[in-house]
Amino acid sequence: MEHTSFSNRLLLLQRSLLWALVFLCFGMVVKMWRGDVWSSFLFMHGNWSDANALIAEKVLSICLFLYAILCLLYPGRVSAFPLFVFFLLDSILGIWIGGAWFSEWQLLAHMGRTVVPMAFHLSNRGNVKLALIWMRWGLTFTFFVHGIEAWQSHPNFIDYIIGFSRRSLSEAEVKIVLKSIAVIDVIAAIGLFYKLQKPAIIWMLIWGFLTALIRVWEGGWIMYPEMFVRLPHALLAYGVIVSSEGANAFRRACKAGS
Amino acid sequence: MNTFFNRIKLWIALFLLLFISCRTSTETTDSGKLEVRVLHPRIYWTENPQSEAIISWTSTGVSEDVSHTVWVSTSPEVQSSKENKWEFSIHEVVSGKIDLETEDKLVGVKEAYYQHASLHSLKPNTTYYFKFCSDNVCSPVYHFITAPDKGEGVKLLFGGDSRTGSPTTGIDTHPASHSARREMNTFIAGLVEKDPAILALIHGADYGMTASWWHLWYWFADHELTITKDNRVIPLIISQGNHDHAKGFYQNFMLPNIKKAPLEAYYYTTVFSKDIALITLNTEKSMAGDQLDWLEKEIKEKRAQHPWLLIQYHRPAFPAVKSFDREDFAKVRRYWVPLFEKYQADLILESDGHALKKTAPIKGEKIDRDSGIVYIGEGGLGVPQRKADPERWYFQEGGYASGHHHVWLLEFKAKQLDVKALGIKGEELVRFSQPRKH
Repeated sequence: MEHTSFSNRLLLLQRSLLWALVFLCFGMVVKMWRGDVWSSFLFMHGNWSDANALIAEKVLSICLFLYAILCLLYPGRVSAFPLFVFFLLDSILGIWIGGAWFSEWQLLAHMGRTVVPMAFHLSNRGNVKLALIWMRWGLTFTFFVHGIEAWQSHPNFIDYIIGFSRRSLSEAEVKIVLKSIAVIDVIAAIGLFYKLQKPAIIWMLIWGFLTALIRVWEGGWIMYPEMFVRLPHALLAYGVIVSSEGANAFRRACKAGS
Repeated sequence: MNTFFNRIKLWIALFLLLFISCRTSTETTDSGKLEVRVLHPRIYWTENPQSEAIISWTSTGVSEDVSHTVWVSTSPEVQSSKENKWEFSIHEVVSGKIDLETEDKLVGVKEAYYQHASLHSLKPNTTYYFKFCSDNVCSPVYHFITAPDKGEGVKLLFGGDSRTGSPTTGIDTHPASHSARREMNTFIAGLVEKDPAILALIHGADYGMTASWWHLWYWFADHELTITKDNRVIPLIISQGNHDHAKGFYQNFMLPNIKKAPLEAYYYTTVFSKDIALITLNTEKSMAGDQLDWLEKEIKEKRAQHPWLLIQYHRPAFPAVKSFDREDFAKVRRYWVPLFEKYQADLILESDGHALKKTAPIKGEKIDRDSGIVYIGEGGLGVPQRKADPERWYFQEGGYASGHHHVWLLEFKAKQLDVKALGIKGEELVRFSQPRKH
């Protein structure tokens, strides 16, 4: 019975990570196709012509798309490590290019999405424990940095909340709301870092979903790539819940068996 | 296994602490015995360029307790006379040590102090001669001209994006990699020499790759090339761009005399004369919060008071290069453009794209030849130019988009505004005129 529960939960974990990888790769492919950090880097720092840099990024996005399909078709067999490295490089380039608030934090802020390929690969090889560690750390860093950004009143966060409230909240009021969110984010991140705590992970599930959704709520459907690259935060949190409960069930089954 | 992961956790926690401490650390070593130098002269105009100006400079080799003074006169004799003909002096100078980051130290850029002195009660359309001194080491005598009473005949320059790429080395510390910016600045100085009616340069921001000192040091050094042969300094009307987030921006582009908006907000209105007002907005701050509340009041008031109303900001509503669907561009269209259209702004000045553009008249996200607004700019003051997309709907029917270094020249006439984009060699790239709307 407990073994069945574990298998079901492993399946749920694998599915949540599969969708996380699908959303992430699709969002990234669209962003890159439109022109993102890779072409900016080649153009501004690599001395490429703008046209060639854009073509290079489009080619790269096709490679990402094809490799992601291979990973999704042959989970556990085709290594997702190159995708992990790719997302890591993407974040580092974002820091290099700059030009956005808190871009110096990007490596840590994007960790929630960067770890998705590794967690997906490990879960499909049955290594739930290691997958869980990657997922927890990814969420920890992302929510910690999100908390810092909220504490420092990220202009985009202010506009999301003002837009969501249909301008019924003033900027001063929104800054107070952001301070509260920041405190919860940082506490949840630290809490999850040291111990798997259910309230923290449920906060991340709900808040991860809402912060992804608010991109299209505020900016319209054209913002769907921004939503897609952030949906993995909620899916990771969901995956942590099901895998930790599955692991507990497995441990109980082992104890009962012995 | 658990010990291993606990160690990794400890390392990560230490890394985070280091990361946070690095962000707030400042250079504190003393440089007292170095030779004192005063350099990087510049003038910022904010709300009242007829009566106010900010004179700013950099000093090296000084310490925190030295005195800084600006000497000012309307008499050209101060340029040559050995007698003290200065009419007044400013001793209240905002000064501070420029924060150095790790990269600054690696590059070896000099420790320095910023200075900003606010001048008040100036007379309109008057040439003011000035020199600035730190620790009794003084600059040469420079001059600038205050804005006039009447707008007719006023000429303004507009451009953006003077940050640089790296044509050869990948690192833009070497002056050679600033060649386009330097050429453009030299060209601007030549324009002002030929046409003294040019009053100021409206800068659409993105000065350096970042606002770290090693980028700004070269930016300010290159900016000196805009000074004419007879030492006329062309005032800057600045905005904040997406590459101007570092502390160096707030230190070196400080505007201590703004009264109608928070100092750190960098949105304000410049009234050049009773005829011309320019609203500078800040796309790097909340667009829907306090700034929007301020804009709603300001645009209504200024539209009623001034026949010419121009607006500048960094991130474009109608981009020539980057995706139309980007979040920040969509926010400009959502929150600000309806106000531009409601109050019939005469011309909108945008930057950021690294290209040259002029849109068709736009209203309600459609071309409207009767009551639409033209958006120009996209940034060409030296940054490498991108491939623009002239096929976009807003570049049809008289619109234009391409990649060219450029600066815009705006000439205000009684009933008409003449606008032209000039290339780095002085070639005319775009030209149009538009009648006054009010």
